[in-house]
Amino acid sequence: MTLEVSILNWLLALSPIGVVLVLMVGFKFGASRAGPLGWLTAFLVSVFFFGATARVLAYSQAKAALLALYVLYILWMALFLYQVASYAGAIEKIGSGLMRLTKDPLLQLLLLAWAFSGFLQGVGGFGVPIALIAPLLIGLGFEPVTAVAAVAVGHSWAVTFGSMATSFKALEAVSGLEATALAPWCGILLGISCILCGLATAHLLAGGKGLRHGLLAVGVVGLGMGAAQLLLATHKLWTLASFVAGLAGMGIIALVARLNIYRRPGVFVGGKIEDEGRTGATSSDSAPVSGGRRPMGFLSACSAYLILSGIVIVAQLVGPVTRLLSWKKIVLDFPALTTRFGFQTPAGPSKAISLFGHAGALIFYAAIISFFLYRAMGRYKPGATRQILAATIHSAVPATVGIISMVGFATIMSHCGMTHLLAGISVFIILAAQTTGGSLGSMLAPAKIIVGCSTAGLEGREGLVLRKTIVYGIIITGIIGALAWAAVYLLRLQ
Amino acid sequence: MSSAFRKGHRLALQAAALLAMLFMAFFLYLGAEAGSGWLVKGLLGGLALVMMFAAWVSGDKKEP
Repeated sequence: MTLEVSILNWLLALSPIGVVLVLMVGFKFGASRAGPLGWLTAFLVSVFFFGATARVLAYSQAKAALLALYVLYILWMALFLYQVASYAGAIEKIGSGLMRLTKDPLLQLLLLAWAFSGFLQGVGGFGVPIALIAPLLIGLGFEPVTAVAAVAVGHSWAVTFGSMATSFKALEAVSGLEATALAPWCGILLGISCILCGLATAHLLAGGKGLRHGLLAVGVVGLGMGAAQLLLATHKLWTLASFVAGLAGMGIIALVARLNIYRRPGVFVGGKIEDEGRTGATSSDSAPVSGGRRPMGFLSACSAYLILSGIVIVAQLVGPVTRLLSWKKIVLDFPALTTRFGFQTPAGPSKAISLFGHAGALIFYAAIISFFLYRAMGRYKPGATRQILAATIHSAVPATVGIISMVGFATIMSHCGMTHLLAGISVFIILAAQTTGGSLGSMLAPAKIIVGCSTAGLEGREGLVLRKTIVYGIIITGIIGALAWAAVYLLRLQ
Repeated sequence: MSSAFRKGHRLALQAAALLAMLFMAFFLYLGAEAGSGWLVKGLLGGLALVMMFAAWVSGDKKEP
């Protein structure tokens, strides 16, 4: 028996994703409910139509659990860091501090959801930007669904070269092509995506009005970020490409904020809670208590995130530290697997989880140092430690159920040939378009949206965010696809 | 679903479900390594039941 390529099989392969999308977008199910139902669909379809054996399913689920733990390590620690900062009143202070940099809500959103998220994707990735920035935006007064959707859309341009270029290196390894040959087209298509993501972020805030108001800023900043990313990527510095591009974007936004059209106070009320946002009252209501504590400076408030940035940069770029932190890894070996229809998954190790060097571990170090720092500043009321842990667990558990089940069914799909049936073909521009599409697809990634919703207090409402991001995802990916098609078939570029 | 779930038991049940998922995944690996077909099939059935349980305990909270 072999796996037949037919419309029916293609639809069956798509069915688990379809079930999750319909349940989340159409029936407004939360990810912790839609995920397990998507898993059941993948399980049944793989057994009855794709020749999954018990052995294939068993190993795939063990592999999925390790992959899920890889993501959950970051999620749990990001939630912990956020609560540490939140209960110290730091989020409230960062919000009011950034509002002084620019009074324009659109620039505030672009600064955090588009540029800062690219920076964080560059150094961290795996859900870190959405987990950390969504609550900051809510602290600034942005409506929660808009906040999560904006970061989901805004950071997606930085995924290929993000996480120290993990995806780009994977592309190089899988395709067998030289990174130097792949980098230019990847940089160009991702640069165009960067501008489109910025426009989408502006549109998310206030529709056509936001688009018109943000056109100049997005054009200037997007060109700057795209050029920085392309420059670094084509000079073999792909590990720094997203990170430096995000940093450049933040600097350019600070300059653009001085232009007259962006110096007027907020004019939008679309996705932003205008009155409460002006005082940053929304964040203080949800968790931290500031009464009776010593006042906190902006830099002190940012210390948790500055410490995190410092730790991540040192851990990623200083060789001896990287090696020291990588000494203990959890990794399992998996044998080659074959379904009844002959679809093969080669043997190989699972994704290694570095206990002390993983992004989650780095966030944990930052959280612990920040906790003692804020405590030394007298920022916590009695009982805060217990409240921080309780708040972390309360957000983490439902998100964890969603992530484990979603990663579980994705792994069933990849081990039974279902993902292979949905995928396409390759060479330079096509590969660049594929990796750009994959990068942009992260704005639709349920796991990332779950992470964002859990830190933003939107557990169970992931469908609302997905409903917003899916439109931008389809449009931007469509434009990139059309450009790649034109480059290959009309302009005959190589 | 009873109001008990809405009063905090949901979190405990979800936590139990996710721990069961992780343990089953671990034992699935051990079972597959040992070549024990019946153990693997039993655990896969159990995992399917745990997934249904997780969907059920997560089902009370709809978006507004």
